Amino acid sequence: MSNKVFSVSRRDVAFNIGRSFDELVRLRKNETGEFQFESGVVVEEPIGCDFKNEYRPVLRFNRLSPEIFKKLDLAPDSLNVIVTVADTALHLRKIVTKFCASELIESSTARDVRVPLKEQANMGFFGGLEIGVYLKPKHSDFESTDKMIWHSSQVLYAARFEFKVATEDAVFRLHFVPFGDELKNVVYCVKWISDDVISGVASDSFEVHINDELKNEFKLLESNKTFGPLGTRFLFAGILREIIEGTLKRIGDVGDTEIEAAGDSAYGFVKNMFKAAGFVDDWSMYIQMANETNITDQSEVSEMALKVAQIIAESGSALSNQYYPQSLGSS
Amino acid sequence: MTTLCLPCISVDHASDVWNKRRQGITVSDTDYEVTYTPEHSNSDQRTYSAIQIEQLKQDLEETKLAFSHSDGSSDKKHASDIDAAVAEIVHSSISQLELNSFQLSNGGFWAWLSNVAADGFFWDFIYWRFKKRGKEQDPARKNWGICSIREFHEIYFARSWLMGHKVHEPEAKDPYAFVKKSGTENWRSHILRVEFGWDPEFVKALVDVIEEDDIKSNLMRTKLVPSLRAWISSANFVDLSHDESKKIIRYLVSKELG
Repeated sequence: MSNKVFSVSRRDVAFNIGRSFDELVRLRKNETGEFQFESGVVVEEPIGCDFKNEYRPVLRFNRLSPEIFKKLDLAPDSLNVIVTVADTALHLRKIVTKFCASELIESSTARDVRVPLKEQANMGFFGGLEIGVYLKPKHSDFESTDKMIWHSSQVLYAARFEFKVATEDAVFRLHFVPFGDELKNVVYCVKWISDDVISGVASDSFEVHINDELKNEFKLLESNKTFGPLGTRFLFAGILREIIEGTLKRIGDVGDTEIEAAGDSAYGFVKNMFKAAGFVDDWSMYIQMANETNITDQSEVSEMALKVAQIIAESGSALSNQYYPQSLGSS
Repeated sequence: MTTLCLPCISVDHASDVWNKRRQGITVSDTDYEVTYTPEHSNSDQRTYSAIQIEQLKQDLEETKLAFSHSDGSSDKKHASDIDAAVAEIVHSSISQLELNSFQLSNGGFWAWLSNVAADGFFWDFIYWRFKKRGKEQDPARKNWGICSIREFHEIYFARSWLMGHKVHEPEAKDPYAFVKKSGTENWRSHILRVEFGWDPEFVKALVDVIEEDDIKSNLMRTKLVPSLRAWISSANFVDLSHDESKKIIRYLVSKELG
């Protein structure tokens, strides 16, 4: 008589009952495999990846303990679980599905939700995609605006899964531009396009121009193992110093110390440089100084700009990328 | 239906062509290398060519004539009208072709169109649109596609198409009504660049409120946008209806204005 061994796999065993919202959902990037991703970057592909045909993501929603909702004094049937997909190049987002949160308590098994990328006709995912899971109130109550959660746009819990394109995330690009005979010996300059360093993005405010005549020399310099890193560091430090001084000067011209600037503006970029260089506490003082007098008269500010630029440049990247690393400008 | 192959160039080649056009040097086809999306693999596959862009060119030429000063420079007072007209022209022209969103999200195509196509007609158009009268400064090169993939929405003709792509309503009396609302600055700075601009229904509600309540750009920049940014740090508008979106926008405006 042969021994038969049965293996039973159930999705509704105790350890699949989530005790906190963090256990609500997991993702697998294709039809098969483990539900291993909790949130964040799932995959990073080169430019040109056809995410639509390469991936068939599936979300697994665990059963939730009713205790979670009791603790928050929220009725599960007052909340929706919303699954979205977004095209990160086209900046477009849409709902894939939504269901009542109480279904996760009442269900006897975990629930799988497929995210059909192929069906999203108006999305191409050339620049990647993001799958979002949100727990939100079903209804709004404008009479209860004093409560923490009162509007259907508010998110009680969010998980975002990113399918990224590997790019050189840049705050600014180096543009090789002909400088003409008069400036033929100039290596680079920061061209200010606009004096608005607050409301627009940094690339609306300035461009970094490198003398096109020196393009080959730049390539040689960066490939030189001995002098390349040192040379590029000097250049970056100079460029960054000009950007910092130019930005502070223009903030000074605005004359408002309580500025609410966009994070991707030149102001936001410089602020992040101060932060990255470890001068976060000095920022407001320098903004104040920039507002008091003309920044070009202030040797102390120039000295600070130099210090920040040097520190940042030491962590800079190769010139061949034609970019400065995004990490400094996007906090 | 066979997908049309779209020509693309790299950012480096776009930059080289840009420099030549700016200096008035003739651009030759050895100055850049064209690739195609999808790859142009057999002779049966059709490519986007001069024939298809001729109508687009003619329509843009008419727009240029309609909004030019006597010296040929663009009338900046009508920047919003120009951009709304261009959005309609580009989106409707592109929509008639067998193209998909994957192809149209490729910045290389828009860089080709902006710098190479029609012997520089589109390059000239962008220069005309953004050059400030009496100022030396050249407009930002990202308008021509000399930018990273993250800045796709900064490419002038790409964002014109994208405006239509987001809010085009084919069944409506005016399918491009929302593109024409709220003005170019709001579209560029406060819709295409920000996360709350990802949700088409919210975008339509936002441009409606801006128009209906006559929200001025200063109020928009200093009050409403910071307020929306703060609100979406723990919220999103993806599932809100048009009316719900308008209601929350108006609530935030009233809160800001006391």
